[in-house]
Amino acid sequence: MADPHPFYFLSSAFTYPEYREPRPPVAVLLSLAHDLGLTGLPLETHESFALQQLQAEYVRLFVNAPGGVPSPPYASVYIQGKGILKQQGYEQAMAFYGRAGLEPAETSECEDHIGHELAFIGHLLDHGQFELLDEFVAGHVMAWSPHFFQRLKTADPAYFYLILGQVAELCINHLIQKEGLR
Amino acid sequence: MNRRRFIKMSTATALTIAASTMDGLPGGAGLFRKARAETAVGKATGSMGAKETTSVCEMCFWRCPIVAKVTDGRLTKIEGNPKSPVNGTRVCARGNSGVQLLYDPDRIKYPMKRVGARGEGKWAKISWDEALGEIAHNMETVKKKYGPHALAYFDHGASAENLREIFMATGTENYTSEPAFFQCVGPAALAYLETLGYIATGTRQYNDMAHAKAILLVGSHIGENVHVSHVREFIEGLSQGAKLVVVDPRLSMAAGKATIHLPIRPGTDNALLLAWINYVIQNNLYNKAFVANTCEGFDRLKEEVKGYSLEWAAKICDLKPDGMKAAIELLAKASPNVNIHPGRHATWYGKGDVGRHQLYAILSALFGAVGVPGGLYFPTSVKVGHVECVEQKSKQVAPIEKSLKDIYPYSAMFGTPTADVIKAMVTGKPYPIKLLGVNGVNIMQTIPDPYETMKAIKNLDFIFCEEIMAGETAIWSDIILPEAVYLERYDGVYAYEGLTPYITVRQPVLPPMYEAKSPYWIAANLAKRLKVEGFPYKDDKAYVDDQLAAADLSIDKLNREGGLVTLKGNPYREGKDLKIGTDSGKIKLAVEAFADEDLDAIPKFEPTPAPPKGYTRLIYGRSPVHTFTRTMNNLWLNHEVPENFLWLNDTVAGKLGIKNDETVRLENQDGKRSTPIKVLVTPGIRPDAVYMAHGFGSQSPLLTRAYGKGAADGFLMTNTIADPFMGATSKRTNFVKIVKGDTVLDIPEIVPLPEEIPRAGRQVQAG
Ligand code: SF4
Repeated sequence: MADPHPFYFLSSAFTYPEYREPRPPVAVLLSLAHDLGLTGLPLETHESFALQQLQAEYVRLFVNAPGGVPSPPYASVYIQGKGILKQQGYEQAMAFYGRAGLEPAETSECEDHIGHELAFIGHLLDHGQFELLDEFVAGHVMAWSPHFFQRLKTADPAYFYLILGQVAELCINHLIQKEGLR
Repeated sequence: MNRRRFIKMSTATALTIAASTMDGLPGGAGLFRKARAETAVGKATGSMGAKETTSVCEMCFWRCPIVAKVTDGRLTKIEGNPKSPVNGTRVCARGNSGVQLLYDPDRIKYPMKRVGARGEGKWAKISWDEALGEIAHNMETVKKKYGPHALAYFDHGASAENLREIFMATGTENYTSEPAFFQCVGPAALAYLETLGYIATGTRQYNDMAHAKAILLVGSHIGENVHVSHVREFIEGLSQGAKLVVVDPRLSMAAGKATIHLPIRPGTDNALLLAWINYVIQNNLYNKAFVANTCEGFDRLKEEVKGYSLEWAAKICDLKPDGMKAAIELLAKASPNVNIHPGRHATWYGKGDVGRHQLYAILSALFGAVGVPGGLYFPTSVKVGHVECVEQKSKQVAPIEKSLKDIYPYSAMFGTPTADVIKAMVTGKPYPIKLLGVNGVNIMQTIPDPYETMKAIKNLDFIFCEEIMAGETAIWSDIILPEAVYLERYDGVYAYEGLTPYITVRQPVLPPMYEAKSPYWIAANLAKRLKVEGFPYKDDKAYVDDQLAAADLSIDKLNREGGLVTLKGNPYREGKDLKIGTDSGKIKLAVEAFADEDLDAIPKFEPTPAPPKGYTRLIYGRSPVHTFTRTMNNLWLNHEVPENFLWLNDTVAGKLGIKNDETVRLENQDGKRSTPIKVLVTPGIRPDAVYMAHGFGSQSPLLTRAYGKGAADGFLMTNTIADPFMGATSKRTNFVKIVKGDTVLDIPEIVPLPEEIPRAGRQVQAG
C-alpha cells in the first residue's frame, strides 16, 4: 500500500511554521525532493530557514500581504474562478470528507486549505479508500491545485516554500501517474 | 494497479519524517476526526431553504437593516430586511457585496506583528495574548514616559466605540480624532447645531426629500453617493413632481435630472447663497410669520446681506443672473415644502465651510422649511439605553497645560483635530504624541497630505490597528488586530430617529472566521491587561441586551418581531410643539456666539483663491459602488468599477490635444504626482476644474489588487486650509496640471477671473 506519510508531512508543512526547530522539516522536504528526483534546486542559505523568515514568508504567501495574498491556499478561490472563500470548492471538499466518514477537527482555518486536502489524501491512502481517492484527486484536487502551485511559483517564494510547492505538486502527479488514478 | 510503486521513500526520508513529527509539527492526520453527524454540505444550492438572520449592513455608514441568508454554514445572500420602513428588501451593490467581504481571502485572519520596516508590510502571525500584551505594554510605557496625552486614537464607524473607552480611561485628551468629522462633516454639524439647535446632518440627515415640492442640492451628488433610503427619498420626491435645482461645477448624476443646473465657479457658493438670501428678503419671498415667531437676528441678517446682489454674484460665480433668479424663485414658490439639502461632506475650502452650511440653514429658516413636510425635520427621540463599558469617573482627561483642543474655539466639543494631532506627532509640539491606535480609518487616504502622515508615523514609538482588511493602515502598524466582519458580531443598538423611526440590532449571522474577534471582546480583553475596570458583561449579547432593556426589548424579543420594531415618528412640528434647541429657543439667523470668538455671526463673502496660472482646481466625489477607500479591493465591486476617470472639459482637452480615454498623470502645486489615470473628455465639467471619484489608485506600490487603477485625490492634497471654527481641513484647495508622457501641460484659462477673486500662489501656504 502507498505510504500516506509524505502527504501528512506536506500537510504539516503547509501550516504556519511554529516548529521549535525548523531543521527537521527542512531535512524531510529536501529528502523528499531528492526521492522525487527534483534536480536543479537553487542553493539554500542558512537565513532562508530561520524561523522568523519562514513565518514572515508564510504570512506573505498564504495569509496576508499588502498587495493581496499572492497564492491563497484554498480550493474555493480557484474552482469556477470564484476568487473568494467558502464557495463551490469548499462545498466539494466538505462533501468528500463527509463521504469518508470524516469531519474536519476544529481549527481556525478554512477546511478547503491545501493542508487539509493533503492530509485527507494521506487518510484515504492510509485507509485504502482508493475509489474515493481517485474521485477526490481527479475531480477536485486537480481542478485547483495546479493553479495554486502556479501562483505560488510566480510569487517568488523563499526557498522552503518554492521546494514545498514543487514537491507537493510532484507528489500529487505521482499519485495520478504511478497509481493509475484518472 | 501497483500502489506499492508510489513514491519510493528513502530510509533517510522515513527517518526524518519520524523525527519531524515528534517535533510538534501541526497539521497532518490530526486535522480530521470521525464525523459525528451526516455531513449536510452540498445538499442545497444558493439561498434556497436558507436560515435567515436579521442584522445591519456596514458596507457603508448608512446602516440599512438587512436579512442574511445562511445555507450549510455559509452566507449565500444578503437582502434588505422587509420589515425596514426605509429600505425594505433593497440593498445597494455594496450591501450585496458583504458576502465578498466576509469571504475575502485578503481579510486579516490572525493577530500579526510587523517584522519588517514600517510601511513594508512584512508580518508574522502571533497569538491574541501576545498581541494584546504588546499593546498594553506599549500604552503603559508611552504613558509613563511622555504622559497620557502622548496616546492618540483615530477612529471611525460602529466598531470604534469600545476601544475609544479604553483610550478615554488612559486620561488622554486625544481619545477621538475622527477624520470622518474633521475631514468631512464637522463644519456642517456645527453650523446646524448653532443655527437650528440640532445636528440636521451628520451620520443621519433629517431632510425630507420625499415630500418636497422643490429640492436644492449644492455640490451634493445623490446617486453617485448612494445610501439606499436617501436615494429612494430623492427619487420619490422627483417622481411626485419636485423641482430640482443643482449647483455644481459638474453635470453630476443629480444635475442630469435638474430643472435648473447652475454650473458654478468652484469656491464661490457663498456668494450665490448670500445673494439668494438678499433676494429672498428684498422681494418678500420669506415666510414672515415663521421668521417672526421662530427666528432671531433677522434685521441684522437683512442689513448684512443687502450688498450682495444677483448681478454681483453672477460675476463672482460665473453664472447668468436669469438662471440664478429663476432658481431662487422656483425654490421660494415651493416654500415651506422646500428642501435645502444640508449636505454632509463639508470640508471644501477651510474658510467659509461653516458659513456655507449656516447659509443653507438660514435659507431653510427664511422659507419656514423647518419641521414641515419636504423641509428639514426633527429627529424622533428613540429610547434605548446608552451603555458605557467603562465608568465615567474612570474616563477623566488628565490636566494639560497646552491643549490641542484650545487651538480652535469649537473643536473641544467634538475631539482633537486630526491635522493638529499629526502636527504634534511630527514636531513634538505642543507636546509629543508617541502612540497611535487606529480603528476603521485608512490613515493614508482619508487624511489630506499623506506625506506628512507618513512622517508622523515614523516618529511614533508604537502604532496598532484594529482592522478587517490588510490595507494601508495595516502596512504601517506594529501590531494588527483582526476584527470580526460586521456579519460576525454584535454592535450597539441602532435606533433610527428619522421619518419612520425603528429599533434594530446588528447580530452575528455566522461566528467569526479564523481568529477574528468582536470589538467588544478586543476592548474587554485589552482592558483586563491595562487593569482598566469595566466591560462588565459576560458577552457581547448581554451588552446589547442591556441597551435594549430601556426600550423594553431584548435581542430574542426583537428577533421574534423580525429583527426590527417600528415606532411612531414625530418629525413635523408647529405651534407650541415647535421647540428650537438653541439656548434662546429661536433659530439663529445670526450666531452671536461666533462673534464672541471673533468669527462672523453671519457669513461674509470671502473669496477662495483661484488656481494659480496654468493650474486647475481638483474636485472629487464618490463612486456609487464604492465606500471611501474601503471597497476598491472587493472583487465584485472592483469588477463593476475598477478605476476612476479624470473628468476634463472638452474645450480644455482640445487645446491640450488630449483625447478621451488617454492616460495622463496629474501634478499638484507642490510637485506631487498622481498615478496614471484615464481621461473622460466631457462638456459636463467647467474648464476651471477637473474631477475624479475618491478612493482609487493608492500610490503605495504595495497596495491592493486595484493598484495602478486610477489615481488618488488624497495624494494630491498637500495644501490644506484649517477651518477657523474647529480646525477641520480643506480638501478642495489643491490645484493640478496635466502630465502627458513626460510633458507637464499648463491648463489654459478659458473663463477669465474677476478681480474680486485672488489667485493662489504656486507654492500655496497652509492658512
Ligand atoms: S447604502 Fe448600501 S452599503 Fe450602505 S448600509 Fe445601505 S445597503 Fe449597506
